[in-house]
Formats: sequence, C-alpha cells, structure tokens
Amino acid sequence: MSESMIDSAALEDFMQDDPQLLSDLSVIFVRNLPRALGNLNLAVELRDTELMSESAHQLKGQLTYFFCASLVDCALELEELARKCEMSEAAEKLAQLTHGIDRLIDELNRLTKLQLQIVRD
Amino acid sequence: MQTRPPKDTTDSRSDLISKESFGPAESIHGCHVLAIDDDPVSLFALERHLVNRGCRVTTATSGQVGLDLLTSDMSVVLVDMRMPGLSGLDCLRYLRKHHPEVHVIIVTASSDIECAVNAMKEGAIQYVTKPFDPDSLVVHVRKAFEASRLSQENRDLREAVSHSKLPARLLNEQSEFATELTQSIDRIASLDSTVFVGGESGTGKTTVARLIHQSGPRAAEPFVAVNCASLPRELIESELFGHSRGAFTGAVKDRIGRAELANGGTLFLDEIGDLPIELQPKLLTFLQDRVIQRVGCNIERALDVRLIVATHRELNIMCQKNQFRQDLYYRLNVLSLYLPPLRQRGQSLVHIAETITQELCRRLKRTPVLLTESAVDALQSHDWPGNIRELENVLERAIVFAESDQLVGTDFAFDTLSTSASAPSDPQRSKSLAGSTLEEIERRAILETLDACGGNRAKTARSLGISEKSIYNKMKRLGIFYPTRRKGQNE
Repeated sequence: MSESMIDSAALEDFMQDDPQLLSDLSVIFVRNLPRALGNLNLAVELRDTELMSESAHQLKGQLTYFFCASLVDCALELEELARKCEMSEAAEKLAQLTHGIDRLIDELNRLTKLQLQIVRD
Repeated sequence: MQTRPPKDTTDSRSDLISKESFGPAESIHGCHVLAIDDDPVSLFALERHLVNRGCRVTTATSGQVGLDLLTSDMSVVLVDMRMPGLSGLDCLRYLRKHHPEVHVIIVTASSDIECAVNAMKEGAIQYVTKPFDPDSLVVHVRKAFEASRLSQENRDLREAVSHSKLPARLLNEQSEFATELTQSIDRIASLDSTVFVGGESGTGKTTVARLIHQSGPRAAEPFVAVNCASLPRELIESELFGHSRGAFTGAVKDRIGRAELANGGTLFLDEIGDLPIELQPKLLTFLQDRVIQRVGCNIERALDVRLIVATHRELNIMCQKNQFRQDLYYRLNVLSLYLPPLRQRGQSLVHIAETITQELCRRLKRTPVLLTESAVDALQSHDWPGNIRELENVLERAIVFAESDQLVGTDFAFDTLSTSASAPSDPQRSKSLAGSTLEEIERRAILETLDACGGNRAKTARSLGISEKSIYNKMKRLGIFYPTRRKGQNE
C-alpha cells in the first residue's frame, strides 16, 4: 500500500469532533473539480497566465483543507509559473497535479466510505 | 486515521490570562457572522466550524453578494483576501467606511500574509490563514464579536449621555456652592483616582458622577452606572463582573458585566452602602488589582476603569457597626465630594426650579410657564426631603396639570408627595393615621413608597409586598398620577 498523501493527524485535528465534515468537504471539492481543472487545462492550452494563476490559486486553497502538502506545493508551482509567465513546464505540472488529485480522491473515498469521482467531459 | 496524543490541558494560574488566546475556544452564541469566500470548500469549512460553536452564519461567494447580504445584526465579517470582482481589501474598505461597527477578519492563503498584514493596517481586526485552525478562528471571532458589542454599547451610552439631562441645573446657578462644585469637578475629572460622592438622596450624585466623567480624559469612553440598591442581591456579582454560560441556573450564555462594559471609561456604583458585605472583598480585589473574573470562569481580565461611588449612607458609621468593610471604605474614600441637601442651598433653589421648569416644558412640548411669587414662596417654604428629584416631580405634576402659563403656590401638591423616607422631620410622616379611611392610608402608603423608590413601580411593589400588576391596578383605582422615572435619572 502506497504512503498516504494526507497528513491524517492534521486532518483529524481540523475536523475536530464533526465526523460528517470530511465527507461534506470532499463532496464539495469533487463537485467543483471539473470546473477548476477545466479552467487550468484551458489556461495552459491558451497560455493564459492570468486564468492559470487564478485557477491554480483557488485549487491550492481547496487542497489545503485536505492537508495534502505535495498537491498544495504542486498547485503553488503552477501559480508561480503563471505569475512568471513561464508556460513551458505548465502542461507537465498540470498533469502531475491531475494525477495527484485522482490519488487524493481515492484516499478521501477510503476515509469517508464514499465513492466520489470526477465527472469528466 | 492515526490518532494524536491528547492536548496538554494542564493549567496554572499564572498563565490564565494568556490562555484565553491559546486555549480551547469557547462557544459563541448570539453572534451573526457574514463569511465571504469564492472558494466553496473554505466557505463551507468556515461556516461549519462557526455553526458548531453556536454562531449564526450567512455565506456569500463574492464580495458584492456579501455586501448586499449585510444586515444590521451582523457584527463580524470573515472575508477572503483574493477574490474576483470585489477583493477582500475592497470589502474591508467599504465596511470600514460605511459600517465601522462591523469587525473584519481576513482569510488568506499563507503565501499572502503580507497582504493580510496590510489589511490589518487598514482596519481588519485579525487574519487567519488557510487552512485555519478552528480553535483560533473561534477565539478571533469571539473577540471580534465582543469588541463589536462593546463598541455598540459605547455608542448607545454616548447617545444616552448626549440625550440625557445635562447637569445645567446643578451648575447653572450663581451661587458659591455651584462655583465650588464646578472647581472641584474640574480638579477631580483630570485625575484617575476613585471618587466618593456623598449626600442625601436626590441631591444630584449621579449627575455629578456623569459630570466628572464627561469633563475628564475618559469622556469619549463609556460611563456605566450601576445602582447597587436596585439589583437583586443574588445577581449583583454577575451584573458587576459578568458570568460564563452555565455558571448558575439561568446563565444560558456568556455575559459581560458592567465593569467590563466600562473598560476604558468610568464605572459608577451608586448606593455603594447597599453592596452586600459578602461581595465587598471582590470589589476590594478589583480596586487593588484592576482585574476581574466572571462568575463561573477562571480567566482573569485586566480592566482600565475609573471608579466613582456614591451613597446617602454614612459609611464610616456602617464600618463601626461592621456593616461595611473598613479596608474597602478607605480604598473608596480617596477623593470625596459632599452634596448638600436642597434645603441648605438657600436662594439657589429658585434658580434650580426655574431651570427644571424650562427643561420640563421643552420635554413635555408645552408653552413655557413662569413661577409666580406665590409659587416661589411655596417652594421655599418646603423642606425638600427628596431634594432635586422631589423638586422635579413636584414641578412636573404642577406643569402637567397647570391650566395657565403661570404656576402659583396652590399648583404644587406637597401634602402627599413630600414624605420621602429620608425625611424624618417631615410633618407628614408623623401625622396620625387615626381617622383616615383605609383608602387614604393605602393611597398615602403607595405615594410615600413611590417617592422612596424614586418612582420605580417594580421596586415600590416589592417594598409593599404586592405584585407589579397590583401596584398599577391600585394606582389606577386610587387615581394616583405619578411621573415615571426618566432616562438618565439613576439615583
């Protein structure tokens, strides 16, 4: 079994004594992912640094609530690439982020006993 | 999930004050929070944690929508720094300008701390970074809520003070007494020492306390008056120092006491001689250390409060009878002022009566009335055991029932209303009840008690051992008209 992406102790601290909170946050997160990832893909395709910076920033904010440092760092790198207008590595970084998010959803499903998945067009 | 070792809950008295900032957060009830964030995960987490702690939360996903949703009962706004459209900073600037009573907490990514610090320079009360620590968030919101509530109460008090009767009647007279009193107040006002105001009931002790506050460096801060005689014995401590939720039956939420409400300003304890002896050590501690503890709470709160106390009782004699703590007496009696009774003020009685008459006519919205010579004679021949309060009542009754714009001696009804409890020499008090009808006796008992209670119906009813409803019914049945106590008249 691969190492967990989530800092589970920090996550548990955050959820406090509300067992439903993680499930609710996971549902909201996954429900909003298609738009967030769609915007990022579009930004990379159009080399739109402003859209990429905004979308990466928002996704980064959401990821912080799942205490998944590697993915937060990955989103931050995308945001910084956009800020510096360095788009050459953006596609690769986005693929890395998307793959990581798939793994995160798997972990969230395991923790919450849900069967969440991204609805991709 | 792995479990963490339980948090260290050891406590020591020395860090109680700082624990308020870092310890487990308390519940917040009665606080309506507006949360604005375009990130739905963050917004939901904010809402859930605050709702779990008793807050009412309204959410908005943009600055514009959030400001549109703002209502007057919202005291705290949590706003994300970086949003499309109106940013957190835009919202903050708008709120500072148009709703300064609302306290703003910035929510931001850890990479944007510099922006958050700038926001605090623009008036945000605090910032939290994503992912926020739920306990810290609740502490910040609670503090913002309390600060907002205090600001509101300060504004209410300032408004009340500005609309209350100004003490012109005390000082607007050309007498040696008025000159000396003005000079004493000016000297005392600039100091921070505790002031003791003595004098019979109705001599203007509350007015003098307000004047001292208004003339000093704390004038812009709250003036909070507490009448120790009018509070139920078992509630005085909670009223003065506040309580925590669950401290006693009926304490359904945390409550700030009057001492905390007066923080930065002046706390006026009227009728200090009626403070129960078992509470006196707590007041003594407060005077010595300027620190309070709410009932049922171990947290010590340091306050910056100037204390003014007043009583019609002779505290030195009470000390001799062990009815008042001597150490507290010496702590209180730092700067003292004595207000002589009206009957000792000679000609100034007429000036005061004229001032009050003008005020009453304005308030009652009627044409000005004049005091004729016979009216002045009647006023001067009376003993005024109830002092200025009694004078006000007598004048108000006369003005209300006056059929012309000139008051004459017979317009004043002293016979039944001059029987204040503090008037041992009043002939009415020694008048025999023999030969009176029961109705007359009842009428007299009610009027005398109303006088002694400053017109307070509830207190009068308690003194007479009847319900408040009964006192209203009896007054109606006996045709007793008695003016209600006016706002700002605390004595």
